[in-house]
Amino acid sequence: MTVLILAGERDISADRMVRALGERGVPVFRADLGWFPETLTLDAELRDGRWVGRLVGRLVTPHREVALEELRSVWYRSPSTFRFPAGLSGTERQHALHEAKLGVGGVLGALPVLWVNHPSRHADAGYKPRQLVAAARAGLAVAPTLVTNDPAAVRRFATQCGPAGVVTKMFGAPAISEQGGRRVALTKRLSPARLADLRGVEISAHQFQRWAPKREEARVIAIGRQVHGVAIRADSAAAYVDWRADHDALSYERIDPPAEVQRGVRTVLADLGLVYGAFDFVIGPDGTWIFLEVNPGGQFGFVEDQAGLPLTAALADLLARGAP
Amino acid sequence: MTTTDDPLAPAGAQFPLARPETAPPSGDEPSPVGVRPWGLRRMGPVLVPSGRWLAWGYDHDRQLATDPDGVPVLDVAAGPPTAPTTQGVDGEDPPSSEDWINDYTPDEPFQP
Repeated sequence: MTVLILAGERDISADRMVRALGERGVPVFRADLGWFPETLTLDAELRDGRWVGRLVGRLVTPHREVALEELRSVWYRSPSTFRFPAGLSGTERQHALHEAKLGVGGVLGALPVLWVNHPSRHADAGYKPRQLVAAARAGLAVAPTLVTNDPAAVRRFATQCGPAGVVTKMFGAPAISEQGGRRVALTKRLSPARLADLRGVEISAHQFQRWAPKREEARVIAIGRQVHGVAIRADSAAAYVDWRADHDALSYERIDPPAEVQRGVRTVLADLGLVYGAFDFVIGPDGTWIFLEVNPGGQFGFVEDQAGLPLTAALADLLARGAP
Repeated sequence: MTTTDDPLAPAGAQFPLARPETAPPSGDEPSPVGVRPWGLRRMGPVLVPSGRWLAWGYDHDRQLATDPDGVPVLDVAAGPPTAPTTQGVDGEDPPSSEDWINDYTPDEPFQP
């Protein structure tokens, strides 16, 4: 029984997973969906209510293939989008993309194996307002949050938050491709000047949260029933607001999340239909853990390296077991 | 409410896929204030790109990335894979290793 890894070619965590599964004697078929259709072929037939057939990588060497019915689990690790041959018109390319998504994605998504995570659950979990509801229902503390395209609502919310202040953050990717390069916007506290100029709020939905005073932050990696925690401490002003802003200013320490947080994490995972999640928390000065978000595809390599947590091994064991 | 029975994502988004690494950056210019979404007005450039991973390949036999000499990258990275001087968190340059990469689910096909 084989583990299918769907990942980009340049992914060191996937490299590690290939090696870890190999050390366990577990066959691996790694593919990037960007190889479809030119160097990756799907040949699937519906028999007795399930899809059987082959996923074939027509690669340089060796020729590699896997039978769909011989899969035990799938690690859905950010594969890139399908790539179609040059020469297609825009209309043809759009058609090919949607057919591939619904066809390839439909067959793979219907496989009755362990998914880490299932792409549909992954997609749904990306809706952060829904995450917040799931977290609150799981008993986790969440920050007061506003979603709006009304500047007046932003000012009202800022007044309600008082001296604690307000932060803004994206619902989705905080990065765009523009002006020939990549541009990012990390979490920011709103200055009076920014609150005074809200032109453009009305253009789309925006998210605002009351600033949560923090002693430190924590990343919690949930793998099946296991919950691993790391405290992330910031030693610069930028990293204090968003630790991604200044990696040089960070230090890490392995910690055990409180029992109620661990219960909440497992409940959120179950609610969202996930078996893996990278959770971010703020730990307040009084020790209160406040849920920020869960990323169903969040990175774990840096946590493993910085805090010595055996996360690749835990994930490899889960994929090899084929059951949560 | 369960996401399994009541999905939010439309059909086309239920199989999220990442942006190809070889996709060229957009040349779009920011719209003027008042037109540009407020959340984009604070966009800034990606900081401190790393010089690592400038040359690499993929070994289909071993199913992992290699350097130009064919050595697995995870064996030749200096020190731990996490490079604290980069924006990446798994030892790679942006954007492939950034935490939010899975949020990117292009609805438009990649133009080679």
